[in-house]
Amino acid sequence: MIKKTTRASEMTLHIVTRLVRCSRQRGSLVGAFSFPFCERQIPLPVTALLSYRHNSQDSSAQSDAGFISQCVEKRGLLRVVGPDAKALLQGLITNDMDCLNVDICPTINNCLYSLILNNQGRVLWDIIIYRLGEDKDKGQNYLLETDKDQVDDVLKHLKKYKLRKKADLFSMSDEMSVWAVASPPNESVTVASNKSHIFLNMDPRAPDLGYRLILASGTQASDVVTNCKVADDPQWYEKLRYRLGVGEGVVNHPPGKCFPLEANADYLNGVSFRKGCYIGQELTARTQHTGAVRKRLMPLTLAENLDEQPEGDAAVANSAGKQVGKLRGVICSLGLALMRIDASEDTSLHIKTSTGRKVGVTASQPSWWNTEGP
Amino acid sequence: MIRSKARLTDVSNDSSDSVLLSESCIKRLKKISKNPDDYLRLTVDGGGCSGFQYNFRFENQIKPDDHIIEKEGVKVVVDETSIAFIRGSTIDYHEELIRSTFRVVSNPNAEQGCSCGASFALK
Repeated sequence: MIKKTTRASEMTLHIVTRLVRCSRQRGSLVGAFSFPFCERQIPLPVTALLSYRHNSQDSSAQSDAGFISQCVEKRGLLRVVGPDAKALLQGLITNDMDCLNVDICPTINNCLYSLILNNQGRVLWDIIIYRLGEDKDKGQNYLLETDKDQVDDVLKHLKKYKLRKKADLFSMSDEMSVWAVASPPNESVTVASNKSHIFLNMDPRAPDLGYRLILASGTQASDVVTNCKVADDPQWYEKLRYRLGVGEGVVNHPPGKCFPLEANADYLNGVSFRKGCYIGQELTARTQHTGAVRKRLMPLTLAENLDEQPEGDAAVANSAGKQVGKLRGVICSLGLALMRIDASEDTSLHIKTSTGRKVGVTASQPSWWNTEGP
Repeated sequence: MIRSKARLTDVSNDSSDSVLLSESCIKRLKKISKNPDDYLRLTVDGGGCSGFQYNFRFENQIKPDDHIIEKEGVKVVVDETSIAFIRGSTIDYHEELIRSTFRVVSNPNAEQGCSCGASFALK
């Protein structure tokens, strides 16, 4: 009982901190969000996403007001259902399944960002867990979002550790799709009441990512969310993510190579340091409590649009030619790189393309980094 | 700190199925088993820092798929799923100032354990 109370107050504190952080840093507006199944308005930070500027020439996200949405084609879903579903996931993920408590705050605590690590503490996959209502016959009911081409591997991983636990696992990628919905300033998401959606929640990672929406395949977000259109730019969501510096999927986090804190899992609300054992916990906890994180995934702005993709793990070097980072993805003039934090303010950073040409880059610290600590 | 060195006693002739009990394990089981129907059940579950963990508990129900290891009147029971993970290892009773516990030692199927010894990874 005591434990539960502590958790509840911790979560409340966490939410308050998040609200304060958002409003302080971006002067954002506290909008209202009508939640589909409880029909009440809950104040939420609806951040000024479309006014977010990042010295980028790319202005596709800054169009007229209204919600912008896009199907996140790269992401797929799997379903974990059964009386032991929670226990199975709790042993494998970095975040605490107890945070998925609809009773404390339905809008934030309905989905959870987390990582699955191997037993050496390296990231295998980044996932988002969505808690659905209990299945009448089978009990606890969760959806896991991960890369579509990794769904089978994640299923295999879960099955390996399932043993006697009562949980059924299915791939849902054919039945459902994941959508990202970005909110304009001063607006709240409203769902047309006669339209059905499977899940709608704020993105659990960073407020600027907007909302995460799960729909049955074939349905468009613009059919369900009022005043919402589908983005014209096919790379709209990816560019938004790169501009914010949020890594996603095996392209940005090559499996078995990244550490959770270097992937910013702590700043993205993806790690619990109090939950107890999970695979990879020892190294993660030790790094947090006794070590220092010297490298992190950071957003890059390139001096020009890159058509040819640099090779994986290409070096980011300073003017002396010394490697200070590793490139983890490029889209047009935006990039993500695992950078040495102390070298990231250097103004003479560059990368080399596959043809050996030098391209200048600048790294920046995203505003959602909570460098003051939890 | 008393370190019990596991002296092994082979209890089964079937080598594919053999799980060994150390002398300290047998001694402890004799001491705490109140009646002959009590036995120690060892299960392997997913969980812990390294992926799989050992669980010990006392029971008096035997299920059809259980493997029974009996020695000097004491019984250890392992179910069909779990036996695959611990074939060839030794069950020991370990006494230290910080804790005294049954544990699985020299498991040939385990690659690496966590610091507390409660969990392991498969080879």
